[in-house]
Amino acid sequence: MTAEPRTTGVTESLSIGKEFFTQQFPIIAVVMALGFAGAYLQHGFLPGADIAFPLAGVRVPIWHLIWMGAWTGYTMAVVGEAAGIFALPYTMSILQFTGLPVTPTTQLLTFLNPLGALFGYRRNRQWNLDFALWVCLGGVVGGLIGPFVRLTLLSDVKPFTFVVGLSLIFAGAHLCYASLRGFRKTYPAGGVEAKFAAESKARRDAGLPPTGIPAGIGIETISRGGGRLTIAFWDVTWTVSLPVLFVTGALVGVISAALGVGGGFLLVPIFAAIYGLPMYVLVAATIPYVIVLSAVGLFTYGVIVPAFTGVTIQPEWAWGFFAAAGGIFGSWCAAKTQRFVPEHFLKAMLGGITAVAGTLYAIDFFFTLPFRI
Amino acid sequence: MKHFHRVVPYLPFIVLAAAVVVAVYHVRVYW
Repeated sequence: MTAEPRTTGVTESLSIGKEFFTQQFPIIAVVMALGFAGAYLQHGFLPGADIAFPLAGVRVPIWHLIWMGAWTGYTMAVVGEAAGIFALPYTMSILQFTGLPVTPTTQLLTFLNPLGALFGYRRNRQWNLDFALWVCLGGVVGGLIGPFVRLTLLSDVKPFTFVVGLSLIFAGAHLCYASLRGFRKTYPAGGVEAKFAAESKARRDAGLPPTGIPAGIGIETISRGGGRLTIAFWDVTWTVSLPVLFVTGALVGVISAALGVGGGFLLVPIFAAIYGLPMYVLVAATIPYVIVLSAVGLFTYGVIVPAFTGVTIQPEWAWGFFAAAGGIFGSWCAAKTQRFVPEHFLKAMLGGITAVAGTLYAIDFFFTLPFRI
Repeated sequence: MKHFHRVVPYLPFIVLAAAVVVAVYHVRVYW
């Protein structure tokens, strides 16, 4: 009896180690190699602590970029958000990379970061292409328009940081609200969250790991037609309007591609408010959306914008790849440790930090602050 | 593993504290 937990612990650590070295390490190694290759192909040398990144105009050690990706990816993934909305202000304020290339550079991070999560959700059957399609099509439109907004309305640092500030205030407020709801445990009766809480409590009482959703449950399409789609998950159904999905995806896409973030921070609260969709269902649309939007945004910045305006905004490829290598590792760590972490407290803390940073950005637009942000 | 499980709930806060330390180091050295 006494030997059992030790055996389980050793098996668990072995399987986690095996999973890391067989599934995560090869991806991280490839992305790191792309970082070095990107630096030499784009600039002909490796920028870092001694030589400034030419497009960013700042010196940053490579380990710091990997660390930025890792810690933003880890902390944000623990609370169910993507790294972009945290990595962007850190890049701007601490690393002092504020020029136009910062947008496609963080977009490269938001493109690569959720790829691991996408395969995980597919394996868990949190996947529905009917639901994802129209949001992603909206994202394509947004990804095509957003970069032109960045180049015209938001080309100066001040208006750009102001809009980033407003986005941070929104994201921070949403995190604080989610934490408050979590502390109060006020879930609508019969909803997925209430079922999840009941199931995980039952499993914890039975001495099992508290994974709330029984295995094998997927997001099913019930009906489709007349511009409406009905989906079901765990005996709960939602009817969504396809034009609303498309228009929301396009509007969020314009803002996100203009800033260089993934858009999940806007899409999740909007869909939760309109349709009452829980996080477990929303990821089926938001994860593919972030990947599609970031890919189209990168393509627009690199190919379409130069074709129309003659202005080329290339990302710092190496910067984006090194940060993404850390981000993939951070998101994986979050997926493995999330169920042990006091999520609501962390949400409140991160929400507070995000909202304060956003408020400082917004104030700086009207009054010059006595310190540099 | 036992020690690991004891540390895990505090990991996000340790990571955030480390991020602040690295950020301060960067500001002092590179700004």
